[in-house]
Amino acid sequence: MPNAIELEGVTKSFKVFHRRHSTLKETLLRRRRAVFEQVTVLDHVSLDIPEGQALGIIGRNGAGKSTMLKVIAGLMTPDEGTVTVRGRVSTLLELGAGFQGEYSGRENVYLYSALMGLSRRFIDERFDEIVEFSGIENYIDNPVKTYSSGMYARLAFAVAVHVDPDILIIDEVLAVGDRDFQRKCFARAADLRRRGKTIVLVSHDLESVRRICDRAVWLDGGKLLADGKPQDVAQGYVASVTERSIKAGFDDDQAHLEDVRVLDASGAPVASIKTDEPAIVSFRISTPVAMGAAHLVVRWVAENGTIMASSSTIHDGPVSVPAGGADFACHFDRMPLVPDSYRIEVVALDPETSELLHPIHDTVLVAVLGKPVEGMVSVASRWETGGDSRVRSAGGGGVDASSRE
Amino acid sequence: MSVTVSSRSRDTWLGGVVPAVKDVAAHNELLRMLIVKDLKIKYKASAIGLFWSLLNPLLMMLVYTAIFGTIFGAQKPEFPIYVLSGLLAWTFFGTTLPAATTSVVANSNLVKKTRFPTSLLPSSVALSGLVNFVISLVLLFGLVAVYRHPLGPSLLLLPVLVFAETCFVIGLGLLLSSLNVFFRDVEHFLGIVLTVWFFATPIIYPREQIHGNELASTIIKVNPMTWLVESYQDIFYGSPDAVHAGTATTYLGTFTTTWPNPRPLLGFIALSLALLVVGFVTFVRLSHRFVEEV
Repeated sequence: MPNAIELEGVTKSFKVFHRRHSTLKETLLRRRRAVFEQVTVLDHVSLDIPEGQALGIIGRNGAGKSTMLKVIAGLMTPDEGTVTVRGRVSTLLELGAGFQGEYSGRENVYLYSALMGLSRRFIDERFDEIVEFSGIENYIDNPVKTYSSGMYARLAFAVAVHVDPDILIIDEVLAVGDRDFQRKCFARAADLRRRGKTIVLVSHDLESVRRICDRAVWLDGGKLLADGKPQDVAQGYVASVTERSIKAGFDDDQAHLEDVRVLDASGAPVASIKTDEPAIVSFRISTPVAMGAAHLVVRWVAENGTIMASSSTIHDGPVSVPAGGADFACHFDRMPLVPDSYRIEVVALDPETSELLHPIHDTVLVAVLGKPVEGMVSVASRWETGGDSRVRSAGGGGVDASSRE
Repeated sequence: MSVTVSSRSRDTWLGGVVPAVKDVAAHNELLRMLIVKDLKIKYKASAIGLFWSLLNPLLMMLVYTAIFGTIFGAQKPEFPIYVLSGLLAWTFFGTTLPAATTSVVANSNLVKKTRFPTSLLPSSVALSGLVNFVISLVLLFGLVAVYRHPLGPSLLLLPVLVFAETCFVIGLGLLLSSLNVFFRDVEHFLGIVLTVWFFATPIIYPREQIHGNELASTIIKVNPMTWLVESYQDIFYGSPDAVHAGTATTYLGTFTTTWPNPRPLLGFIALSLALLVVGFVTFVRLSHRFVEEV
């Protein structure tokens, strides 16, 4: 079987600037020297992917997975080495790659196929099938900026698999969408494979790698650490990740998050606070053994899932917990939230990978009370008009219409 | 279909240019879509979008005629035709180039996430400018009809001029849009340059008027836009018939149609084609780093 993709000694590094020339003047005059660090993201990676293979790439954040996909997709040129790709490549990098928010779903389908170099007739023939697969018939003529992230992903996936690619490159998109749609995606991926198409998939979700792929590679620090059957590679990867979390001590069996509470300024537990009042979120981590480093994050989450405010130890450095456990309190000087109810989430993250170390067991609801306002935050404000007219602060604070200039 | 991307292809000047040309050719549908999108934005927003786009040059022509027609009208009778023939050609260049220059940066989300010949971004802007230009020529022909102004066989050169100007705009657009990715001051600088450039081109004044000033007439002479604009003026405006008696010149109210001066015109065509090549090669070479820099 010929190779669909060949990477040979591919190296890619980026300059991470601490200070850079961003204007012509600075570059020409070189008054201030640009200060940068060369970071090698891919380090002499060689990899042959035969036609018809489904390859999963797994690894931590920052391991070079996305860069590898971009190099294969032809978005980036390697600093060293060669990349050979045989066949038409369809890419799904991030959500709805290349979708234009102002365009309708329909226009984006055509734009995507045009970006791939396909003719209008080609996509005309497949259009109905794409829309049906995406399941968003009723919204296809609305601008995609009005879509939910799920709808966005559905349409993006539907187009990418229907343009008849020889090679499909997917970066973390299967995570979005409901179960039903995921099942459709898996079925479609299996179908593509039956027809001898090549798939390259990057995912944090090891389960989807196991289900779709017949081969997996583990990328770490820009190098291939393992290459083989998905089960085996995933097992090695999981072992290394768990090893780190046991080291950190934040294993689910050992550490527990307890007593998440909201306190008012005097330290008394409350079920509600007023807009702009201070609040303290207190909780306890109990653990039988001393724990290493972790980052703690406290989030105020609105009912629709938006994180309205948060505080974390990320800027101050990780915390450790002695054997037995410790109490923590996070002080919020004032909460300028509009009146509504909010969920408090406390999570612990691995300081290196930012992965969740602890499932969220305990969330509390807290109500914020006050005068109802539109918007998301409550901002102190006052009104003024010019001339002799006065803003009547009484009577609802409206501006006298007759004196408006 | 097989694509090999090698770090080595960047080491030779022309490396990657041939595949890039093929790539552009394979994406003709995309080019069409980008042009249509650009035109839609211009014409769809208001019910009488086409009217507005014609109104602007018409209004400028009236303003320039009102101000400069009184000064230069003696030398250039039927001054509105003189102004408009240069002004339309300039407007195509002067309004399209800034839009082409920012086109790569403005479409960063496309450039970052999908692989396609990015050179189509400035090119499509230039080509939609071309469509606008061709539409706006209706004004000029209308004006010619109103004045019963004679047009001669030199009008056959119009497609050549339009083609050369389009190459000029695409070439410069490719060059500047790729440089603008790395140095954002290009777009700001361009605004100033174009303002000065407009006045360095004999559009609202006759070139003969500047003869007293050595520096100014040299600048006008080496300005490629002069070569182009004067060619447009030659085929649309021609030269007024006059009788010279002593120091006085009397216009007879008729015109002789003229052919453009061949040397400046050929010079402009050569320059445009050269710019197209240099612009494209530069663009292709720099485009390797767009994803990281945009």
